[in-house]
Amino acid sequence: MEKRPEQRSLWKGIKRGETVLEMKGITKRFPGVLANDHIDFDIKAGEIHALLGENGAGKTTLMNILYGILQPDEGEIYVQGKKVRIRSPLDAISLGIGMVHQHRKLVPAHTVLENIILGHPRAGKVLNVRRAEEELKGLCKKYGIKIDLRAKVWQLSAGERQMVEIIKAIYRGAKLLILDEPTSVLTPPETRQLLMSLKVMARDELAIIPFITHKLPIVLKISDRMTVLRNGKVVSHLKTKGATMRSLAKMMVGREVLFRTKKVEVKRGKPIIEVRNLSALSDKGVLALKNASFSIREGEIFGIAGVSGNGQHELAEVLMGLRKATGGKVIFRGRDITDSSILERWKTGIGYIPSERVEVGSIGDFSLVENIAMNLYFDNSFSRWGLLDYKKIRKHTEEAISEFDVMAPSADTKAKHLSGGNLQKLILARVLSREPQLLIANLPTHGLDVGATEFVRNKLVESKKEKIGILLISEDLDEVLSVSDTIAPIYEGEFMEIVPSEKARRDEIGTMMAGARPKR
Amino acid sequence: MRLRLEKRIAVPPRVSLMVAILSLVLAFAVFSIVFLQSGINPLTGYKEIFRLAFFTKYGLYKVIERTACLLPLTLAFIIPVKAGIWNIGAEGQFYMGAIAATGISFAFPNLPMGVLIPLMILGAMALGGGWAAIVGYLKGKVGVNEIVTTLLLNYVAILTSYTLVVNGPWTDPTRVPYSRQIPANGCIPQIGNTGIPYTIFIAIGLAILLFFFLKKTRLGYEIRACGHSPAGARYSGISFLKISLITMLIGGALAGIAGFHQASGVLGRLRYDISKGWGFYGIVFGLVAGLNPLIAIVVSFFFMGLIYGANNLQMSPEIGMKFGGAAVFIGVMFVIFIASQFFLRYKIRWTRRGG
Repeated sequence: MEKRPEQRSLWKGIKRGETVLEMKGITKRFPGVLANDHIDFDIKAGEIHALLGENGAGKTTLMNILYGILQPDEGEIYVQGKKVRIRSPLDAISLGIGMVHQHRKLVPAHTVLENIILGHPRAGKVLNVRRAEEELKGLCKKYGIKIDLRAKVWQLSAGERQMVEIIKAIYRGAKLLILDEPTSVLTPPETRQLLMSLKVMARDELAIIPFITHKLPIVLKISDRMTVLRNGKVVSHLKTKGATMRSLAKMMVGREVLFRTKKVEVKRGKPIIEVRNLSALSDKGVLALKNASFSIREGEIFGIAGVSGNGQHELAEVLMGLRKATGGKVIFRGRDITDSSILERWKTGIGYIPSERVEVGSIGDFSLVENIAMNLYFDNSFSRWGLLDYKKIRKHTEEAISEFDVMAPSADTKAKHLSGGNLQKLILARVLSREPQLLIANLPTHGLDVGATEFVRNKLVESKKEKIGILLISEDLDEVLSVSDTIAPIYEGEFMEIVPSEKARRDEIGTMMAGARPKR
Repeated sequence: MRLRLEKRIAVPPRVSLMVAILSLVLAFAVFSIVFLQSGINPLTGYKEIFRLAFFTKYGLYKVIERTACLLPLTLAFIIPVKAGIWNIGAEGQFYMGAIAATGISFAFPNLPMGVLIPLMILGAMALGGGWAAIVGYLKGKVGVNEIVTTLLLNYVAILTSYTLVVNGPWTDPTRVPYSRQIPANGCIPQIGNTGIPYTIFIAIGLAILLFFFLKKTRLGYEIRACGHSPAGARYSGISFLKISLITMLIGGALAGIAGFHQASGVLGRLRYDISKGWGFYGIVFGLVAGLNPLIAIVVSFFFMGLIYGANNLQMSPEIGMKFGGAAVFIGVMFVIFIASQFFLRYKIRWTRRGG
């Protein structure tokens, strides 16, 4: 314990722009994978340094090495020119390195304040709660963070919890903050607030913040420099000034990526589904969807733009039969299906891609063959005498894997070993192979990397040719705008407007997502 | 040095076997204390257990006869738990099966054996299954906790048999807590003079059938999907109510067959103490067998052997084990075998601190 305060003095006397930390030739092997291949990486005081790369590029491995969770097989780490060994997160913390994980680790039943001082070395044996509270209030004020320190953590939104983690790390003396995909759970306003706070932190406190994300617009807006990884290697170190989405995406994916999904123009056919005055409750029993009415035609993508929690999830579940409607009607091809079972809906030609792809859309302990069977087991052409025709299902699976470019060792791999993007491709392949007439896609690209996102969007647009009607639910306004034919911003369970995409203006839709009524 | 736990991704069969063998060794080692305390050389004790169970004709036949009872009880646990439903009620379903079989034999004593016995089996399956289906319905429809309901229904079933045989309509006037004898037509024949009823073939046949049922059929797929991920199963259109009803129905019917076996094939009557907690043994056997119906055959045979051997140590003249020793033996074995399941889920690594 004696050594640790001394180590912290390494951070004394650094000036803005000086290199404070260097990683040289970092190499880490896992069985069968070279996760980090001689990576060089450095961070200067006062900068926001984004670390970019697709899922599996090696970002998380590199940061886990920096935070002492993993040990490198080769390579060295220098803090202010002095070689250090970071054997555990405790070592990292004492060097002033803090990390905020994707999966947050707070005690929900405790207050924000209690969570922050829990385990703090200065809390010692006697808690000086009042002093800590004063100091924390100061910190929050400085960085423009509005959080009630006495609120219980379970009452906070995902974004607020993330802020708590960040304050906690800073309060513990972190001078270098590692944020793992910090915006993946945030709503657009929360993201904005976080970015502002981070800018202030970087400017005032010489806090140095490598940023790990694949949301390119955010990276471009906030970072000073970036390092791009691909397949465990550094592709480029570059300044953010002058970089473009397109150039970055090309570096990350290794090929040209089109951000504008090519629109496919098809003639719209007959209406597939008509929804009349549909209402539903949320899990908490609150009216979440209020009197929604719309219809979708063959070859139409109906895009619902909205921040999560505004009733769009409930709408998708009601349409699939996973949730009961409290009012209204759903007419599919002229037939009232409001009370139909989930199975009947699959059989009649509705397909659903759920937003919870791990918990709902797939079964982790099942093989890919068995996962593909989730939408085939009830189909008489895949079973005889009550026996499933696994041979046929396997063939079907192998076709889906190759056609949708799912990266998996074999069809017998368990679904839980697939990455998010590959799992989503598998689900998409499975649902589309049913040739549904109506496809409900709930946050289909959420959390996917650039390459997989592009793939999923293109598949959706292409399927318009098959006369499929698509209900797309997305939080990403750009996605909705680039893909949909009709756009419906949703706020607190109500559509603010339903507009054809030709007439939709980005800023108007954006303000409607935040609750503004359209001008008439 | 320090210990680190890692979740296992897959359990190789070799590991399962090693864990089972080590559990057995550990259980024997622990129970040795009881042997030593009674002044018995543990090695002699264990040798005697194995000799009594597997190397005497009478013992071996007896063990096989009990396997015919325990195997369906084990399957009665396995099938519902594959769908995520914990059937703790095989004991009660076993009693209901025995009651149904006995009742049918009393109602139609003059039917020929070829008709009466299938009728008794069907009746046992129907009553056992129906008894369990009550739980399946409540679980599937409104989510009533099945552990509580199955456990409580056990007492209802046991006390029902009590009302029937103790000063009840079926009481044998000469032998009170027993029922009258099942007519000869209703007693399933035994293989030669081994004392093993033909139900052993039914039991093994069912285990093999259920193995393929789970693996190959559409219904088996739906059951496994519910067990692995209720949300995923629901999403793909599987009705949990249906699966809950069906698996409990199957489970109850299996336990009912065990009840038929015991009443018709072994005791020839209904008794208030027809089970010695065997319905609960099925839970342990099922877990030890890794919920695999084929392995359940081996597990129930081997464990019933050990238990039979331990029970008979008291009667073995040269050992002279104290009363109650067998219960301790069963307890030690069950606890160690269930606890060792941990090692199937995790592996332990030694890591050098800071290395």
